[in-house]
Parts: sequence; C-alpha cells; structure tokens
Amino acid sequence: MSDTAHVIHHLSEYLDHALTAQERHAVEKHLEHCKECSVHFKELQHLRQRLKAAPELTPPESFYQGVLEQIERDKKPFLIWDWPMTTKAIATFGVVMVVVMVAREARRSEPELFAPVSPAAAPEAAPAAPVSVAQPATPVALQSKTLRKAMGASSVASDEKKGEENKDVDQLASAARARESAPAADKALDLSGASGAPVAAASMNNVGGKVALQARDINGPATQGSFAEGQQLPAKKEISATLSTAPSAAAPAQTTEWKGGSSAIASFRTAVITSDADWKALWAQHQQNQVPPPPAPAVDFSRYTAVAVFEGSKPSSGYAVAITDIETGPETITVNYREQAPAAGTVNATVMTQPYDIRLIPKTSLPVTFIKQP
Amino acid sequence: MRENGPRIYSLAVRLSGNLADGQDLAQETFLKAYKNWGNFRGDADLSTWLYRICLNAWKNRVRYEKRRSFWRHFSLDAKSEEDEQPRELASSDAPLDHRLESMDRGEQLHAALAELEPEERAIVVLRDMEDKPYEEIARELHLPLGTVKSRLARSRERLRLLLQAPEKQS
Repeated sequence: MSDTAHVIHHLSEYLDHALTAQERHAVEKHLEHCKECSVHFKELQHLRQRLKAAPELTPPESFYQGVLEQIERDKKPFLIWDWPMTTKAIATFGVVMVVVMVAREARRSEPELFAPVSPAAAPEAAPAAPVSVAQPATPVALQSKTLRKAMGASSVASDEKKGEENKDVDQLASAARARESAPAADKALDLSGASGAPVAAASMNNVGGKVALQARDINGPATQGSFAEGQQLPAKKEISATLSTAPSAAAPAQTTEWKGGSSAIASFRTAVITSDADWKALWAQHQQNQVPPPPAPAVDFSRYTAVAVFEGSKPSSGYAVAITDIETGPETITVNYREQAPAAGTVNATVMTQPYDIRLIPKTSLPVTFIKQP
Repeated sequence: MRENGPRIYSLAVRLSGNLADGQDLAQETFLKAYKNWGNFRGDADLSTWLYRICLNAWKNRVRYEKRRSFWRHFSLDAKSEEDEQPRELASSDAPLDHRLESMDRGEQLHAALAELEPEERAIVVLRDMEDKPYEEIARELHLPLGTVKSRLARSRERLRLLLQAPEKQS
C-alpha cells in the first residue's frame, strides 16, 4: 500500500477495525494528507452511524393480531383444503396412481383366478352332471328293476319294442321325479326323459355299492346340459348319472373345471388323466412355480377323467384358452377348445402368461382327441 | 411477542427490503417460534433465538426465490466493478434519487437498502445494524470471509452514493 495511492477500497475494513496493524497504519497515514479519501471515510463513518442508529420499527397492531389469528387457525385441525398446492397435487397424483395400479393388477390377475364351475356355483346356467345324489334305497331298487327291463329290451332291437322302451324311460323319469331330494339329478334325468329319445341300450354297473347308470341314445338327436357351461351338445351323447345308494346327505360338490392364465407348464400340451398318480404329477408340474406347491384338488378318478389344455407361454396378458365342448362318440371323445388372443387395440400387461383349462369329464376309457376351434 | 416484536419486525423488514415481505417474514418467525416452543432452551436468550429463526426463514425464502429465478438482478453481479458503480447509479437509480428527496431519513435508508441484492443487504444489516462480526456473517450466509468483506465494502459504497444527494440537500 503506497502512501500516495488512494485507500478507498480499504476504508470499509478500516472502519470495522478489521485491518492488520500495518495496514491500519498505512491508511491512517494516507488519510492525514489525502482530503478526498478523508472525506470519503467520513461519509462512510456517517453512513455506518446512521445505519446503527436507525430506530427500530414499530409493528402496527394489525401485525400482532395477524400472528395471533394465524396461531388460532393453526390450532384447528389441518384439513385437506388447507394443504399447500404442491401437497394437494402430490396427494392427487398418489391417489390416481393407486387406482391405476389396482385396476391393472385386477386386470392382470383376472385370468389367473380359478374359474371353478361347479353345480353349486351355477345351478341355473349349468345343470351339471354327474352329480352325487343321496338316494333312498327303494327308488334305486325300483330303478334297477326298470333298468334291467331296459337291458332286456335292448337285446331285441325292433320298432315294436321301442314303444315299450320309451315307456321304461318314462317310468325311470317319473321315478326320478318322485324323489324328494336330489333336484340336480332329477334335472338330468328329466332331460333324458323329456327329449323322448328312444333308449336302445342301457348298461348298469354296480361298483362298491354305487349304482352307475349309463343310458346311451342311439337314434334321435337329444339335448343335454353340458358339464360346465350348459351348451347344447349334438347327437350321440352320453348321459351319466352316478347315484349313491347311501341315504346320507349329498356329497360335497366336485369342482369340474380349473382355468387360468398362470401355469408352470410353459409349452403347449394337452393331457388326459385317468389316475390319481398322474393327476398329482400333472398338478405338481402345473403349480411348481408356487412355494410351497398347493396340493392337487381331490378328484375321484373312479368317476372322472380329466382333460387339460395348456397353451404354453404367451408374451402378454389377454391370452386365454377354453374348452368349448366335449363330444362323445361311440369310439372316441373329442375335446374342442378355442384359443383367444388379445383383441387388437387393447392394452395388455407385458407379463408372461400361460393360459390353461382343465376339465373333468365322466370317466372314460375311450381315446381322447383334442381339436382346436377357429 | 410484544417485547421482541419491534426488534424482529425491524430485522425482517430490513432483510426483506420492503414492508410487505418483511411483515410476512416477521409473522412467519413468530409462528415458527410458537410451533417450536418446545425446542427453546431456557438458557439461551429468547431474542437471539428469535433472531436465528428469522434469519433462517429469510434464507429459505431467498433460496426459494433463487430457485424460481426471481433474482432478477443476478446478472449485475457478473459485471466488472468499475462498470457497476457510477454509471449504474446515474442511469437506473436516477428516479430513486428523486423519490428519496421526498422521504424522511428513515424511509430514505430503507429505500436505499432495498436497492441492494438480498445477500448484500443482509451483510449490511447484520454488520451495521445488528453489529455482528464478519466471521458470524460469513458463517450464517455460507460465504467466504473475503467475499463478505468485499461485498460489504461495495454495498456501503452504493449506499453512500445513494444517500449522498438527499443528504446534501438537507
């Protein structure tokens, strides 16, 4: 700091006594003979005094009132409309996101939900047979007698006999109607009776105290409610009603269909299951992604055969497979199924899905053919 | 509140540079003090505690304003010093000179302070009105000590020039 140079830039610090002793000395020396800097310093000094001496402001009474009112307002519960705009926006966004996610989740898991179609679930739309029915001993005996008659009649395949056979069927139907319990079985039997179809052959199996009735219609077309969806089946149908001779209450309803969009079987496959061991093996494979794998549903393979279609892995939701109907011919059983792809223009979750449909049909030893419907 | 009212109110108005914002800041200070009363340790001075709340609230506001690019005069800082001083005052502050003439001394002081950038104003207020040492100002405003010194010198110079004309007239 030379003696001749102005010290204006140091005056602020000099004012605050913030200079080193040497610097302060130089400034003081300069101020002694430099009028310009001296005046400048005096003005700064004056400014500082003025600032320091500035009187405190007196808040108006309204200021205190405002603070008190604000405190009172804050004591009240904090309602949603008191939230700041950003909080409201975030909350709204959050609610919308939750709704969207729930909707997406619901949509995604829709095909995964098992769609068990049981008689109990839809007694009106799907009069399902086979149905276990509690039967008083007498009607069964009566029925057996009637059946024996029918069997005898079947050996004589003549037009004259047909009237008698019809009579037998009517008798069977009326016997069934007369029963107090088992409305579902009645329905099945009523249908066979009401169709007026001549029964040419009827076979009776007595297995373990249970009477299995098989009535085969040879001639005319007959309609019969299907096992699951109640659709109309074409001619050559097998009507099966398994009747329990025990006078106990109805057995728990058997689920006859399992359908969904998530299986561990990742490539296309069809299956016909006739034994419990095979059923358990298939189910273990089907559910192996789940920990622990749920047990296979109980199925009585003395009464049922399971048919299954696994579509394999699909790239998104919206795919499905459904067994549309089951045709029973004299030498083969045809399982018709339809694949469903997501409709164009729909938004689908990009998750791997494995649609499947497993259905129980009355026990059969006939070969099963799977036919894909367009 | 009434005891510390004038002090906090003055500080808030001076820091804010205008009455409306200052009143708002002072109100916020007292509300925060009310809500955080449990945090006030009796051993500290109440007035100091309120001063700190007020300063922090002011800093939050400045940060908020900065973020919203409300600091319109920011670009002036970038100019060189010689460019900044006399010419600027001659041009942009000319109307203020006229306004200052019609004000009383207290109003003149506030109007001149309002012309400073928020941080510069805060440095002047804390140093010359609150009598805080450089180190504390640097700490509170998160600025290097040298910056505090240079900005203080610059701000004082601006105030000196601003208040010179009405002073001479009187």
